[in-house]
Amino acid sequence: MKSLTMHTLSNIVIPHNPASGLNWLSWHWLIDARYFQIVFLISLLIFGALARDFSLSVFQVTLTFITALSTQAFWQLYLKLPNRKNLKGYLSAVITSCGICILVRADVLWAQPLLACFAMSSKFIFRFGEGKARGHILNPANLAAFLAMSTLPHAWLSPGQWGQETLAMLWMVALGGIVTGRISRWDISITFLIAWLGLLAARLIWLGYTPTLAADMWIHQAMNGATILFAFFMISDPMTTPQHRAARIGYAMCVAITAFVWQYGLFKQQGMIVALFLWSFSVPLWNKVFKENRFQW
Amino acid sequence: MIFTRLFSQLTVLGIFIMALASPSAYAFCGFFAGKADASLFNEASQVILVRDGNRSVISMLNDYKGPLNDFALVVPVPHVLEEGQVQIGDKRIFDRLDAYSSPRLAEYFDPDPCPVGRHEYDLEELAVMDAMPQAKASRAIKKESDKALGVAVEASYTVGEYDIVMLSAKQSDGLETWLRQNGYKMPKGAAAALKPYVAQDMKFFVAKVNLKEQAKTGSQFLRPLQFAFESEKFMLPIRLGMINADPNKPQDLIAYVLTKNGRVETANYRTVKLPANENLPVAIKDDFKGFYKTMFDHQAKQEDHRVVFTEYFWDMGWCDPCAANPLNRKELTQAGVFWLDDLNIKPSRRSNGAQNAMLTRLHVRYTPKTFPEDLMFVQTSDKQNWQTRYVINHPFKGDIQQCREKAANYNCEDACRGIGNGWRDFVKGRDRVASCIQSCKANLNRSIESAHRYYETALPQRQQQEIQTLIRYTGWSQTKAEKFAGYEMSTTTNDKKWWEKLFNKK
Repeated sequence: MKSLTMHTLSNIVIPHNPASGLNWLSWHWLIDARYFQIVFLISLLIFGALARDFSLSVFQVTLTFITALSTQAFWQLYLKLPNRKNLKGYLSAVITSCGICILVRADVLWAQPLLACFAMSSKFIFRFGEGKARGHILNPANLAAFLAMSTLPHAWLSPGQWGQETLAMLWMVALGGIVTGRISRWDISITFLIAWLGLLAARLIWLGYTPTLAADMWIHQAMNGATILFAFFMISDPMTTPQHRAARIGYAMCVAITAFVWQYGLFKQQGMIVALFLWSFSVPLWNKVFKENRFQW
Repeated sequence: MIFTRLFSQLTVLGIFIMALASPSAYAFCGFFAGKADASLFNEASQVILVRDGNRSVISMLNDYKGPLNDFALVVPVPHVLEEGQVQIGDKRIFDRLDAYSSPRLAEYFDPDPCPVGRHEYDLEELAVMDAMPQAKASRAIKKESDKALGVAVEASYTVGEYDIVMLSAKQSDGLETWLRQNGYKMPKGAAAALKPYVAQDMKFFVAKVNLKEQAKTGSQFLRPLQFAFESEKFMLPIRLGMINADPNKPQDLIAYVLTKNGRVETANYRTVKLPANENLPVAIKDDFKGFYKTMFDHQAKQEDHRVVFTEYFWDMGWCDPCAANPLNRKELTQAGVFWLDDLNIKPSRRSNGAQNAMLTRLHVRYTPKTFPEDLMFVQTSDKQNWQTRYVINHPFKGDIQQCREKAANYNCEDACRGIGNGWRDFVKGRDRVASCIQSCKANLNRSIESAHRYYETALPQRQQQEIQTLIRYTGWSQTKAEKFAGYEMSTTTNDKKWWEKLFNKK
């Protein structure tokens, strides 16, 4: 029991420990990695709206944020959560709003806000697991993206929206690295990327493309902003992925394989979003087999 | 439930197209633009893609111009197409779709900024008209209106002027040899390009021209081929057309995609809307096609030939303004729209019948280097109509001097003649004649003020804006754009640099 507690502490403390080499970043507002994530996602949102023809209106963005924050507030107060007066709960609402605005396109004003409402509510409604491992299992932005592509009318995802620009990808990898480094979930990102990009490469080699063309095609597929965004900001969510490192590695590989089969075996779009959504339901099982305490921000 | 929906929405299909001809490789999928229409772009191919669920109907119109006995078309298809699945399409349908969806020019005329004699004109109303002349102007819309080789012949038949064989192959080398032995002139590198399709167990639709049958048609051009099939893949194989092509030489492709639910975009390339719907110099009217070509060239270069442009997306039931009438039910059926009959469509109130078909017109300028993959499509839920429409606004012909003269020659006394004071006026102590004259004179002053604002501020500002828009669209220099526009840019005080004002330089 004692050792378990220690373990929990080390999980929480290490990222804040000056000895970790990050003491230069230890101002109070930088402690929570989610601030990095917010800054990064907002940069992406602005980049997308200004340089990538995202066709987003200010109204859509504003309404999405308002709805996500209100939904979070409603659930915190309604469930009388002990941390209801803590503003940190709202960070997740901001992150989800950014994610929805970046991923989901709509031709009506209500689609993104409605998705934000569903996404935030899902955190309080769909809770699984036992004891300290209990919590929500669906990444809110992933749920929103899944609903947008599968059920909600007037909303859709635009897989080609990022274009393939090397610079953008490097920028994203660099920043993404900081975030995942801070929250000790870089293992899942890296495993996913290796598995996914490996499968893409294997397919091209198996199909017998000439090496030059295969390389061009592989780069074209890898340089997609959506892949990086998914690997570093969605599948890496510490709250909705298995808590044990070995489990996370297995989990990331399962997601990558499912996404690959979906896209290149069944010829459907948005393999990553669908695969993560489906595998999310297996997280309590992974946590049962590979025991570890739940992550705390 | 969710999954049923998901499957139906994301089901996509595929077909692969390649044209092989000698001496030089000939690219099938290269397409072009309306009333800058499709004939504008060289080496452009046109395709009509009709898609719903996993069903597809594809019509291909090629721009082949060489000797007919050299023509061959090789299209990788997901399964063997039987004779009934292939037919000759109608080129007129391409023309109709092109005309309906081509970029259009909307023309407006400014009203007279000097409304002498129109007493009912209110100053505020005029101010609004100065700011947005097009909003209130009258509309004059421009209407333009084989076993050793591992190759098996799965089927062979003649459709129209085409001899068609359906091949399956185990090895791409064998396929290339078979094609050569059977009189097809294959470009170098064909086997390598065919390999991935063989690996995916696709079949090959091979067509060549039957000269006898062709002579019977009496046409000099090859008619389009249309085929219907089922597949999960929703794609257009442009890579086969790139064999031996210069890696940096752009080719054009225009795809008319007809769907039931919404706009179509490419899943593996960025789809962008062309800049449109802004005011441009009136001079583009004289050579609208030239303008559109220049603009498209510039935009494609700016995006480094890496994007797919949307030129039009509209519900087939109507248009505004119409470059041509929407396709009727019969034409849509000819285009390959297959769902019209199995749906009880309610007649629409809007126009000559909403057809439950949405048209997305995509224009791709691609190079082998920048488009390493075939085009994959995805149907979105977007139903917002959008078009490439360019607006010109003819300035009112006149100047301040004319307005002054007009005002000077206007006799308020005459205008107010016939208005008499009655006994009620007498009782109320008012003089209607005098107030009419007063109002008339005030109107004259307002007319002159309004003309001043229009000719000295509103119009030059708008024309400046039009030139800036033209520069943004075409990448021309300021000088070139100004020369093209041909506006007499009287450098008004506002446009002068501060030192020019100080030293009173022209």
